[in-house]
Amino acid sequence: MNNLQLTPMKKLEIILEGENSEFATDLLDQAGVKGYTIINNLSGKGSHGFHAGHLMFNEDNVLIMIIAVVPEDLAEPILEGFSPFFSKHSGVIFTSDIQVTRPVKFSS
Amino acid sequence: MSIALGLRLKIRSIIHVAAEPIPYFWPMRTFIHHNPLHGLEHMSFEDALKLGAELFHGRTFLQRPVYQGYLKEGKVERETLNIGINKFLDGSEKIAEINLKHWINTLMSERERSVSVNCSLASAEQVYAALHGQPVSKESDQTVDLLRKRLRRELLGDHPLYEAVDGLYGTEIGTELDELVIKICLDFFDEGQSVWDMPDREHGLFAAWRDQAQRNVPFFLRGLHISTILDQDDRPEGVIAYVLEQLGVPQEQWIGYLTREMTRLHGWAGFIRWRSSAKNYYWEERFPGDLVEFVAIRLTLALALLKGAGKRGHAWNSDLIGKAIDERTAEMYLRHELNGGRVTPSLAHSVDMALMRNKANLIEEAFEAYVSSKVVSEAEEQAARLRELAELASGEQALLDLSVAQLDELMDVLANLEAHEGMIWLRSLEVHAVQELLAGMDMSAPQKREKRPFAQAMFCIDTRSERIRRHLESVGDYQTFGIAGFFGVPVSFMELGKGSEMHLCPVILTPKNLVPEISAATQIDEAAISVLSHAMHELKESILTPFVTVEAIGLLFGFDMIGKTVAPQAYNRWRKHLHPKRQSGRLLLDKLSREQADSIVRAVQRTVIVNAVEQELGLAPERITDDIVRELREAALGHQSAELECCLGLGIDKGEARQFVNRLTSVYKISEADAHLQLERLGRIGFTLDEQVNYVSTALRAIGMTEQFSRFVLICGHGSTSDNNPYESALDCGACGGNHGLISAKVLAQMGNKPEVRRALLKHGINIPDDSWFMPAMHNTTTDALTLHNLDLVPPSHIVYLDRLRSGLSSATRLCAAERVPTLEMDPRAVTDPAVAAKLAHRNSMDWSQVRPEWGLSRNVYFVIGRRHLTQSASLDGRAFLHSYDYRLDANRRLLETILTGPLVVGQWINMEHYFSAVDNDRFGSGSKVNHNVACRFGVMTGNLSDLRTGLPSQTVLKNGLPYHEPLRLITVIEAPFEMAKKAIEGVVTIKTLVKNAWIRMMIIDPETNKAWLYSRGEWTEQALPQTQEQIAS
Repeated sequence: MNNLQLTPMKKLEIILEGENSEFATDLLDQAGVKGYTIINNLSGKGSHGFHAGHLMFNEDNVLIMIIAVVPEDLAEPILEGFSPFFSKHSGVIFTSDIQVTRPVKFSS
Repeated sequence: MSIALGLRLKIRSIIHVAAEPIPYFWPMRTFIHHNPLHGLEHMSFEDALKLGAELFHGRTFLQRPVYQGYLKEGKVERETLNIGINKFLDGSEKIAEINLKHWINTLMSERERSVSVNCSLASAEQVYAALHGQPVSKESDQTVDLLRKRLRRELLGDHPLYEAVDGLYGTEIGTELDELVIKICLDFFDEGQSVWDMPDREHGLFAAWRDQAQRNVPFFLRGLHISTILDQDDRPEGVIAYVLEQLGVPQEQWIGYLTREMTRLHGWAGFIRWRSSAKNYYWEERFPGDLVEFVAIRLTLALALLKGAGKRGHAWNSDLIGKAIDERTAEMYLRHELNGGRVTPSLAHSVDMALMRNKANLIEEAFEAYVSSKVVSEAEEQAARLRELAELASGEQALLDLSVAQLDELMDVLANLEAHEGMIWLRSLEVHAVQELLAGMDMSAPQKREKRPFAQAMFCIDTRSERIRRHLESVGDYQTFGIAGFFGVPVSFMELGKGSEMHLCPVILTPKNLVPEISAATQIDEAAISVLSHAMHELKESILTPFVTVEAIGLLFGFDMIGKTVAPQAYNRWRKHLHPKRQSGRLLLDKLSREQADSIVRAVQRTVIVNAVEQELGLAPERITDDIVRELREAALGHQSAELECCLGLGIDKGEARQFVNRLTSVYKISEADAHLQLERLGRIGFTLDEQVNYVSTALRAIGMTEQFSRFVLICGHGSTSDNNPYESALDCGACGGNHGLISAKVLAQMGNKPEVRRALLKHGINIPDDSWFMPAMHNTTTDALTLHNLDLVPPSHIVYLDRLRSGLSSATRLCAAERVPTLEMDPRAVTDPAVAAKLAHRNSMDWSQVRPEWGLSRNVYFVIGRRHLTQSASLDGRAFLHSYDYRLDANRRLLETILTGPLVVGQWINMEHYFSAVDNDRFGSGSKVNHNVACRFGVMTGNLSDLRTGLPSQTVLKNGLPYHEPLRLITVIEAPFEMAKKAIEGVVTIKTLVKNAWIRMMIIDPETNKAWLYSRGEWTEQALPQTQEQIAS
């Protein structure tokens, strides 16, 4: 591979209950995040027990994951922003270091 | 200057979490019954009620005299009460010679006022002294320290600071702040009620207000310098951070502090909370406003008002108040007592003078005098009350024999009991209700029918259906079933002529399919196209007939008022002739074919182009030829070059033509991409054949109706009719999102009658004979009338039976009204004569002065999921939600889980709404309808300025001041094998939480072992049938 410029970025993986998905995407929008991906219908185990990935009639009460890639200086404010929420709700955020080839897609 | 991004996001997050205990408030056009403590359902019922009482300043249980009334009426049994008391005492039944069980029993059943005095200063020693007629002394050393700590805890901490200031100085900052904020909300959120609009609303709540506030002369004159605060940041989060920092509230307390700020106006906060998260709500899209902005406005005004108080010499922030409490404890204590109204008249003057003169020695004196006096009066009051109780319990000597330590213990136990007695009463009421239910149940195996019934009818699970079902079954060979009022088919409905969609399903669901009403012609014609074009252009919410002012219509309305008041029935009959009823249309239930969709999009594009040419180029319609339109369209879509020949015809040059075409593409959305989007939206219309088969099959199997189909299968939606009633939607169908259920009934009937659907159902094992006809019907719950619809579609073979059906329905109507109307009316003839009852019911639906057209869902208490046979022989007095269900058809539990996840949740919301509105109608309910004024077109206020009222009005849940609705938790029964039901409950997260946290009482009746199981205090306890008191109450 030649001529590929890799720019370091941070990836945030936010796992939370589906009913709070709008709050989370709203907060990301407010932070100036340019885009995100939502994965639905997860199951898993947490400190409150096992959550089944169960859709049925009711659209809420399932686990989802939101993946957002942000410039490094946005990661900490976003984590700070989510901290009051996760003090009262189940879920986690993972931060990891990644690289992207088209940084313009992720930063304003 | 603005705050860091991290802090900004954090504040948004904090407000989101702080607002969670506040329930949503839906616009009353579609009133939604909702648990006011829905945000606390993750806690146990008991804990949630404690917190809820504090947050919303309301009572969460009835007052003791009401419960004592129930005891006298036999709705609570003494034995059950004793069992509850035993559980509370948990073994420690005696203190010296005092039999606690007996004393508590006496206290609860014979004493009206409470026995515990909230002694802030007196201790057990002093009470002992008072009890024995000895002089009461005052402990001087620790008192000041104690008071200092207590004042800090009560005044600082989570509570809004102005409450502390009001409490210390008698100011009314809290009330003033609330009024200012309410006025701002009324202005901003108005939906067309007022004639003059607030300017600049498109900029959002905070921006629009900020603009006005900085130019507000009255504020300035009063010395409220809002500008200094607003200059800190142009974003609401920054202002919030600034104010909280100025007030000295530490960050760890922000969540609790802001919750209590918002609960002061929980109606408005709940509305804004709902509105900012509502999808496609027109007013929110035009004029956005969220809670962060609301809080910013509140805090700005609060700080300004507090600073104003500061100028008058009052301590106004956390630091100053804390300092004052520490350094001038006595003075602060006296201030708090005086402004809290706790100082007796004899001392009030000296206290007041001392505070006014502000001299240290005077204050000391007044303090000493007050404290001694208070200690004495508290001790004496407590002693007196204990003596009264002792007398009732025949234990005067035993009381006097107690030592100080034992007396202390006794006072503790009694205080503890009084804090928990609500739960004891509630459990006892529930025990009785469970026993009544079980006594009426028929647990024998249902007999198989020999021949099919004359007619079958599906009703909504609504409690009002219970009555009509019973009476219908009594007048002939009718079989009835219960199902959620939207019949399991969530649709978004667009009425003919209206441009907006109505969601006909419980609010927890979002319908994916759109069903428009088209005129009776079955092809897609011009009228249909105009409706469908509306479907694509998301027009604003339809303006429903509101509460019009007299001046607007003048004499005609005056005429209206007279006619309506004097002779409602005759007048309405006359009035119907003025407005010939619109022909009701057909529902478009099937998917459009690709060609149909394409031609609709094309037709709409053509219409838009014609309109655009008319508007922008000023051409008369007759000059706009088809050719011109076609050319413009092709150009806009990019299919041909912009060399337009039609320019001549349009009277413009080529340059203008090109510009116009560009506008067509970008502004008028005539483009390939937009056409694609429009096709997608058209794709929402209707259901595929598979979907239709699935919905019909699920509905029939869920209720156990899979064989022996009658000639007539009535699908009966319900709705209510009343006049001048902002709460009319509350009386409609909750399962249909606060609308009436007729459309949903028509949808299911139309699907069920389709030959292709019936053929496919054979594969599901459901064989509907050719002569079985699904007919939509409507149950009017105000008059109990049952009307058949779509009669023009009834096959000729069935017409001969219609008479018999009709007369059966009208008999059921009259019998039902005869049972129900006496609970409403004062006319004694209604009790004996069914015809009179029916007439009175009919009048209620039209009388605009009637504040109680019907009782609605009041007195609901049971939710039964099982076969009709179980409850058929019982008269449940309109108190039960009945959902038909046959476990034998539900091998994988999916049908049961569907019932639990939808209808049961709706039932629980309705039950809790009634519970809280009944126990404290002023705080959780909305008070008397007589004082209500409509606000902004979506809510009501009491008087001319108040918070938005939430909950149910007093006329719905109270009768003559006492609760008509008995506040009990929903007693749910599932008729299925134990393991199956248990797994279903555990498989549905919402229900599992509600059961575990005791928001509903869950009972499983196992028809295979004939055993009943009740979930109580964390575990399933088996009950043998019939129940003994001992086992259920535990």
